[in-house]
Amino acid sequence: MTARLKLPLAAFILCLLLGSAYAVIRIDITSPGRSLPIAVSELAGPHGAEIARIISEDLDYTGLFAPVDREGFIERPEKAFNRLNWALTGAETVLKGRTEAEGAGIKVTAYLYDVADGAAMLHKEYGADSSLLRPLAHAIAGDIYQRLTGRAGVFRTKIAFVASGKNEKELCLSDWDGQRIIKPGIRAVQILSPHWSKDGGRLIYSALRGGRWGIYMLDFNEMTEKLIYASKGTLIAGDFFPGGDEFIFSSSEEGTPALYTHVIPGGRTRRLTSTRGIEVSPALSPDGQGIAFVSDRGGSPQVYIMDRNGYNINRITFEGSYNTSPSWSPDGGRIAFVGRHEGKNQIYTVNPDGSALIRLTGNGNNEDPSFSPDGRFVAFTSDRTGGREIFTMRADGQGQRSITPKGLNASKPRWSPG
Amino acid sequence: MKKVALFAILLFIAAGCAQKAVVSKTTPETQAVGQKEAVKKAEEAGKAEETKKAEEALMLPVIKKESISEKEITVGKKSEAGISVVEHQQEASAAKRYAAVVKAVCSGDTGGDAALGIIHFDFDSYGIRDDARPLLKGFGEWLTANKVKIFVEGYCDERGTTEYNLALGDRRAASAKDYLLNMGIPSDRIEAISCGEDQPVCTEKTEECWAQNRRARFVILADEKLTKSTD
Repeated sequence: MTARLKLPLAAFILCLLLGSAYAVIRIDITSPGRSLPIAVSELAGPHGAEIARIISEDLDYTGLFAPVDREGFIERPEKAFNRLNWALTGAETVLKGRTEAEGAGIKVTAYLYDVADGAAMLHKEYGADSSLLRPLAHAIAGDIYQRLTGRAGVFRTKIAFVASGKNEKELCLSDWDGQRIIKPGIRAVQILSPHWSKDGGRLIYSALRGGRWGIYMLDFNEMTEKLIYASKGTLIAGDFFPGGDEFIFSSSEEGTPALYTHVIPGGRTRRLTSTRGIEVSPALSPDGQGIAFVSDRGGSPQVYIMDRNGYNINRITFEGSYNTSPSWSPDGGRIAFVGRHEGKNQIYTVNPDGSALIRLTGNGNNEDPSFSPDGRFVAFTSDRTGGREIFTMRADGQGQRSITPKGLNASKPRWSPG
Repeated sequence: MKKVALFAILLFIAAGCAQKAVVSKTTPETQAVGQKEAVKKAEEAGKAEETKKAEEALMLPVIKKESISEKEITVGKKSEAGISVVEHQQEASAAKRYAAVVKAVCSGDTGGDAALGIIHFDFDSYGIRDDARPLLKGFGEWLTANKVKIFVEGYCDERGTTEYNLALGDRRAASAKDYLLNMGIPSDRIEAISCGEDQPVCTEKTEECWAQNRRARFVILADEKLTKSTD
């Protein structure tokens, strides 16, 4: 094929691809409007009701979908889809399907129909061990979300957090909805916020053990924990740089809390700030070029940003006298932080230039904000019900809900990459 | 324009490939024995003596693979994808290694070691208050006469956020240490450490209570413990 022919052909194929992709997108997530009415019918077969409930809850919590009340469904789960049965429910799309036991596992066939023309927008088979009903349901919800918004959902992401026992802390991981909490066996007198590598394969965190702070790395591929940095003073791990070999942290090893970077292979450490005051809680922009951090150089703790070499320092918080714990959104467009408001700690978001400040919480003390990988949700710690619990909310503050049991006394959530 | 289109297609294809590549992420082989990889750290910066020896990797429990097979049937192109996420079993036997938590620093319980005394701070401040100066002077004189090493622990009230409170505790301990250094006590006899908002001496949510918790505590450690904690 000559070059003259190749390009028009390529353009033609691109149009087909884009055309088919856009044809089914019903929700423009960039301009929030009404929620899409969807009917999630019970799947016919074992565990069908439970799987449908999880899918429905996933979609509902995004705020982009409005699951239709099941009371109005007249078509039985095992019957074939007929769009006329759904027209009066108000649903624009319908999920139907069936499940079958298959050895020790379960097989699910799912269909997503368009009520307007009766076409199947999705027809997929899923198989999993029967102990994995929840992730299986999340996978189906993710496909529906992807098909109707054109974006990846976060239903199969994880949240790392720290549970507080009487005398020690323990690292925990849960699904995005707080279910299926697992404890890899990481315990210490104190554990601070864990930070994920970009590929989700590793976590770094500070832990106090035997009266000494260390920065530790949990490697999910090897299933090992290693001490990767130790010194005297307080060590507080921050984010990984995008490459995954280098991270930022704060340390008081030279007397006062300052910011440092450390390259894991080879162990090169570099100090970035040099005041006699407090510089702490560094958070990296997604491209690794910007650093948000907390400094008291102006007389009270405030959030500043600077470039990755420690230059061009700008203060971005001006309201109130106690602003800490910055965390960057995945697209770099917003910074979440904790500000003192009427004597309590609350979650705010702000642009990296200090404009467009919004307070998202107002009930109890709320701390440790961390964005979901799609930037649409924020996980945080709240004591509004008494003990500490992990909450999630949408990035506009809507839909605040507790996702961890009270007894865990959970805090310091960090959302995994997508 | 056409070049852009071609490039876009390549990206499209590349993205597709990339997604597939991610599919079978992890092989949960728990096999990382004997990794005594030395944690090289601050050595270049001349802080070798501060640097703890690398510990060998802690083995974590066996992982169960979580895999969900997915097969798209009619819609879209032939795509077959399996997603796998690592899952690990509850309860780690290996983690028992950390079960014996060393007490003393920041534990609220110094294991029988004596506390020299306590000074207090104002809210969100690490300046030495006037009422603390006579106390610090007394500690300094005592340390001049008694050649022991001490820990200075910095504490905060509960109202701040965890990480900033740790930094504030550091700064409080450093202020107290600086005062003693100015009195001529050698730096290697005073180790400053932050305990943040942990171990409050008073747990009510009142200003009186918070004021008691904003403190620096001076702890004398017995010689043999000192050797252990600084090697």
